[in-house]
Amino acid sequence: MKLLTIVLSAIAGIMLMAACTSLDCSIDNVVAMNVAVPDTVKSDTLSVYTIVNGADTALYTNGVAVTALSLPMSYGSDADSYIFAFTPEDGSTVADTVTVAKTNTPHFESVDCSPQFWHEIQSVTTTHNVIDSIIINSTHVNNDQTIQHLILRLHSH
Amino acid sequence: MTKRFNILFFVCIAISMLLPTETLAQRYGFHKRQRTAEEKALEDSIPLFRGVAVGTDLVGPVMRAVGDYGQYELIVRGNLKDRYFPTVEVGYGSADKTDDATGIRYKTGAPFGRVGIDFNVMKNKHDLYRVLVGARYGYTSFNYDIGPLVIDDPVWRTKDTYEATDQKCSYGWFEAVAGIDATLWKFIHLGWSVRYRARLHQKIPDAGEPYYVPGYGKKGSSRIGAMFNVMFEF
Repeated sequence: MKLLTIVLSAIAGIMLMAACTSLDCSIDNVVAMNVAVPDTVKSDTLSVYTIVNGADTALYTNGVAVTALSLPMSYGSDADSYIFAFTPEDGSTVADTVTVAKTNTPHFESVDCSPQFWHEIQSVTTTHNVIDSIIINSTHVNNDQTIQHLILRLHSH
Repeated sequence: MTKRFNILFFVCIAISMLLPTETLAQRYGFHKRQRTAEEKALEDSIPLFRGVAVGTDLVGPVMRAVGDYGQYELIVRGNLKDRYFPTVEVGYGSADKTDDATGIRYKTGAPFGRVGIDFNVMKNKHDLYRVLVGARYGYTSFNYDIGPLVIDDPVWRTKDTYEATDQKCSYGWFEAVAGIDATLWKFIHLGWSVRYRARLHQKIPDAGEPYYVPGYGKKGSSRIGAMFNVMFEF
């Protein structure tokens, strides 16, 4: 009776332990670079492209009066290039190329969760057709969507 | 389904907690009976050091054998006046888990240690049964590996390797312990304990928090663990 009691109790304890396991993936599983464009003219449209295998790939298209946007970063490249195309009311598009140098670190949450790469922005360079300057507000690119990474200042129209 | 499952477990635990104490109460009537002069004399006359017990946990090896993680450990427990039980637990925990859905592999293995003390709350502390409550401090230092896993970049259409090796971690935690211990035959003791674990401090690498911590268990899942001990008391 004594042995039975102890064994049954132990089995119940182990079952309780097994019953309480849970999945622990964070809700925010998108890793993106957040860009602020505070000087946008309300009538301008903005599109952002990158070059993949020699062809333009749209990352963000025809946003009107855009003041903030999120852009993906590559998993493995040391630098990503983004083409910011600004189109004012007259329809003439002017583009700037922004190059972001970065590190790529595998980030692990759990074996159950999607793999992620987090990044550290090392430097940013740009052409200056429309963009006047770029301020690096935060270098840590992760799944925290509240962080503003880059601030694009535009030439005054 | 999960809710019913959990309710069933809690009922099992509640019944299991009641069984030994009810039996003992009926058997000895220690709630009502006054202690005799003989019992008081026995309590006062026993030596401080009553012996030492050496044993192991059976849950960890079973979990390792049938699952993706687990541990082997040696338990050394002193006996002071049948009331206090200073305890040292040392072991080796390991995990090798590959998730079917994500394909991510986590691998680690390292020694760990816990020190603490149990307190026998039975009114008749010399009984064959002991009801123990206590606490532990646990610590481990270990490395873990992730991957390798080749994943597709959906935008840049490249294949990239997701891999992190020799990620150094350390982990310290507290355990609140409650359980029973019974003399099965002469010096052989059998018992179980339920443990509530809480992290006290940790050092984590750039790649992120560990999935499994040797001696602690899976990170972020249940804080409740259980051990089923076989002890040899001398």
